[in-house]
Amino acid sequence: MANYSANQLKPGMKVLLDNEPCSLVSVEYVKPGKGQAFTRVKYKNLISGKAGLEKTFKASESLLAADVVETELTYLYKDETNFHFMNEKTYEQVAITHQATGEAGLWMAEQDICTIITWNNNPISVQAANFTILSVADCDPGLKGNTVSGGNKPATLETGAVVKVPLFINVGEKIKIDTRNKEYVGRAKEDE
Amino acid sequence: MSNIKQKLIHKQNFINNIREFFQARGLTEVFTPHLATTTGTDVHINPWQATDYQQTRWFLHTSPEFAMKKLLAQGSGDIFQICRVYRDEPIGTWHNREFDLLEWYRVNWDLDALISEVIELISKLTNKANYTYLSIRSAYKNYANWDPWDSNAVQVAQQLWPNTLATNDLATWFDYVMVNHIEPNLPKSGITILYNYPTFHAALAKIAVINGIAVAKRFECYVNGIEIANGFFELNNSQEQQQRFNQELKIRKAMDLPCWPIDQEFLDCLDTLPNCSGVALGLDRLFNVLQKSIDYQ
Repeated sequence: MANYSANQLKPGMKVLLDNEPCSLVSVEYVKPGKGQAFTRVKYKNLISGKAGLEKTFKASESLLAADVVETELTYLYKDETNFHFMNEKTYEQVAITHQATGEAGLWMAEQDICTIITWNNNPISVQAANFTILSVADCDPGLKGNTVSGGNKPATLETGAVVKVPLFINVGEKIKIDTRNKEYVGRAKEDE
Repeated sequence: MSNIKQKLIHKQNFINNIREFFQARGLTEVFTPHLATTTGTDVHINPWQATDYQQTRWFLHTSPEFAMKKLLAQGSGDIFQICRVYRDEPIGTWHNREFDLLEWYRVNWDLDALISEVIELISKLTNKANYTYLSIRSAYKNYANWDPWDSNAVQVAQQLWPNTLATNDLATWFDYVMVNHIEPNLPKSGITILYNYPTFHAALAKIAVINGIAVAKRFECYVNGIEIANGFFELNNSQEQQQRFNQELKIRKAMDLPCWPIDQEFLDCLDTLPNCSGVALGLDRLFNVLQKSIDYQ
């Protein structure tokens, strides 16, 4: 794969660091008054998901590009071993193990458009859609007249995920969730 | 007076003050050529090139050092020069493709004497100048808790700063620590002198053994935290200098950098070069630093 020299590096680029694919978050040059310069990068490891990592190297060194591809796939259904997705453009069906799907599996509803990251054609991480609609599988009953008072209660969703919801929400209701901060946004509207 | 005229006059006065300083001390101002058919071997400096109508390759000088040392070897006595130099590097807050350098040489002066003169010059250009005097070894101990002269220096560095730099090269660690731990922590106002560098950064300076360790007789002067000047107790041994040049060419080759023929005339002059100390001072940087500081008159 390609080499990137220090002055070609930009945030968002996918490079190999310690032989693992990483996404650069920031690139900084550290130039002394004279002599060799250094490049300092902050990055996220795409396999472990660990962010806020840092590395420094000589400005004369180059980095290897990582063959990382982000694809949007539509989530279809899951079975015991895999989550199944479809590429709407190619109609190709893709199966990704529960392990590789990871936490995203808790926040996906059928037909959600998810982002799958592959490295050398192997899926290494799945990202749920920013918003999803899931029904409440279990929670304490909602008391009538509780639309005004504040307060919330935990609710278990159909996927097993747990979110805090307002007191008036009942079992069986469909709610909208922001998957990035795992928070209740509102009741799902009729056409959602 | 218009804004631009004011700025131009400030710059003019700045340069005039410098000239007066050296004229009062009896140094001769010299004007050496900017073009040469050879250039230095420094790994981190890229020269501008030009081709004449006969297809001969010329370089714009990156420093007047070689030309001035040739004059010194011929008996010029103490000399100074204010000239434009050219380096092919990305423009930054403190870097430019071309900039003005003040360079001067004092015959039979040791490094301490020259450092005093640098401080006197900067004090004349600002109203007051408090100064800090630190050996490299002390600076590294103070600010980074690391001794570059330690026989296990590389391993210690790898333990102190894990998951940062992946190298076993001592010079690279030294530079990394300088840029990340030393320079950011130098006093933000006043003059700081760092002196006695490790021998791998000797460049054109003499190497001496002091308190059992080998050091390059070299100093760098920082003003308000910015590197302004670089001085040497000059090496005047052509064989040793040639070895250093060859070493640099080796590194340039390994890094896929262009390699230039060595300036033989320069090497030859070293054997008749009197003992002297010399310093190069970045005038654009000093002017900028002074403009920003309220001490500047």
